[in-house]
Amino acid sequence: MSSLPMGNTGQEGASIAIAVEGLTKTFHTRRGIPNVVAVEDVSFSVETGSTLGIVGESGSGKSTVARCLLGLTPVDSGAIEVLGRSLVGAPAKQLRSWRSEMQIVFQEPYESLDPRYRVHQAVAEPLLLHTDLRGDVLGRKVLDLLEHVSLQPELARRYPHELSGGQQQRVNIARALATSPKVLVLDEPTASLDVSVQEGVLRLLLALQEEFGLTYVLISHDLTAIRAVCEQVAVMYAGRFVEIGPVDEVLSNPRHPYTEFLIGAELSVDPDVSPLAGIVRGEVATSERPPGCLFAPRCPMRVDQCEEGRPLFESVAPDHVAACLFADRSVDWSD
Amino acid sequence: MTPSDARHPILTVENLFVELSRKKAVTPILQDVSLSLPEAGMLGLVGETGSGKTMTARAIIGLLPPGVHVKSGSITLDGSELLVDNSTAMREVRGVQIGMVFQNPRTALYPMSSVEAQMKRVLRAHLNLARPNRATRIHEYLRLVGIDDVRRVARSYPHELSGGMAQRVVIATSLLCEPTVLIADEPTTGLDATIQRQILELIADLQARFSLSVLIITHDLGIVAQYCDSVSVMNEGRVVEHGPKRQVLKSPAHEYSERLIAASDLRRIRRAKTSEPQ
Repeated sequence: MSSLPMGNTGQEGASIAIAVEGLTKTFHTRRGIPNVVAVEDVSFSVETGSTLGIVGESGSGKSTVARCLLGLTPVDSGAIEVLGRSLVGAPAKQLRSWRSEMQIVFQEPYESLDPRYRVHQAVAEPLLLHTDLRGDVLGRKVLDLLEHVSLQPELARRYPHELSGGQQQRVNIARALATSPKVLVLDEPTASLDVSVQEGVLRLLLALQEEFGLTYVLISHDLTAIRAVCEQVAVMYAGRFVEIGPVDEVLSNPRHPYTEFLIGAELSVDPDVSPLAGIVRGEVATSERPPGCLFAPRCPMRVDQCEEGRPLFESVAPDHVAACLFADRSVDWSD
Repeated sequence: MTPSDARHPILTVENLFVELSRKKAVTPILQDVSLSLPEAGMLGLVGETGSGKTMTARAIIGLLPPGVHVKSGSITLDGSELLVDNSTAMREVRGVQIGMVFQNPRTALYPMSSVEAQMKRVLRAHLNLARPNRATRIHEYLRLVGIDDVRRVARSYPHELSGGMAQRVVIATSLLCEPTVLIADEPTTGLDATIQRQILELIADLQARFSLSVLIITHDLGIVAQYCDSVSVMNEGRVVEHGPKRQVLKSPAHEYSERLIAASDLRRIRRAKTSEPQ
């Protein structure tokens, strides 16, 4: 018995909510400074009602993908279809009206809120923009949204600075849900929260997904969050996807050395479970883009062949692909 | 069995009470905090935001924010009391005997000076080195923290450095005066996984090479499990549990530590619908 109408949830056949093909985005800089290739040739699709996690380090292009998915950043090339609509080249006005069905929750819960708006004003804002709810009906809808994100109605009159980080993020989620979206892009929704608060927010996101059949794209650098909520995971490095597949399969059987390292680098809270012995040296080169594998300069398995061209995706298991020449081998991490 | 607790404690905090006075209201910040950092050991101080971890560190180095002051308690470094009202003496401790690595490497560095200039300032304030020796020492310490192109980094301004590189510079600066104790406040928060590992390995390596005693403040129990000898758990301004890491992490005695450990393992949350047929 949902009191949040999901709009016309017709079209049973369309089980793909998001389809992205060959997405490329370069940020142009001043003369003399090299352009930044943020996203290069990224393709994926997300089934309706499921969650794709995108994991990668800062500067890998995760957030740019997120913004492109909502048409917030124009792309250089590639196709993006969300809920059957092609976003690339769509006029801004059109995008704006479509955006009621696709929303984003940003990283910084406090920075995402207007400090001068009380909670109820913040949650009402998208409703005033996208619906004709006004007066008492609007007020009831706001309270209903707050209830859905487990915020007590007493908090409605507070300002963002009077809330904890977890409460702020719940307000952001309520705002995102206000217009009954079908697709939610979550850009590091738990990154700045304490572990115990993270758990609550992730559980809330799972419950909302179940209730409203939402499709999620979860951007995170945190494998534990990815493992907890995603069905599929894509690993991003220097603007490219290097591995993609079902989350359990990829995390238990990583086939790209970078994925393997990310998993191995996790520090277990069990002192008897040691992390991977080796460490990846150096840093992500942001300005140089050699023609070969972008991870090659830091890769322990590098051979000359790696520098000849971008490695193609190799299928390593059903629905599981990795872009490495040695996707069928394990890495020797010892120095 | 970790031998660390048997070792002589180099830094101790005993029954420390810290409070914030604002007008007439007095808010307790730290209540009866006691810590003991063994010589050449690594102690993790864990807890969530607002638990008092950073305030404890700041009380140790005598840099409490305005309005916050020590009410009672004792802090000793190698047997001598630090809680004496003597700012000159404190300056000799801070930066010389105790090195400090603050949370955000970008803001820990002064934006208007090059790396070399700000490191020189530290040397000038604390050590009586002949001018030509200063640059040599700075370059030596930058190399020590794993920086290869020392000349370029020394000339750089903080904004020109990556987060990992900036943190290496902060660590090099904190070690310039050869402290016996290093306090690292969330040294890897905000850094990427690959860089986090590099920084943690660097701290562990420096600790072993120089027999440094390290107090590492973190909310990440993984760091405690993998790098520390012992751990103190803080909650709401109090130390609720202390012990060797294996004992605390494997069989926590306090209910709060237990909850914190459980929350760190998000594996318990699972998708309600695991690959259900579409």
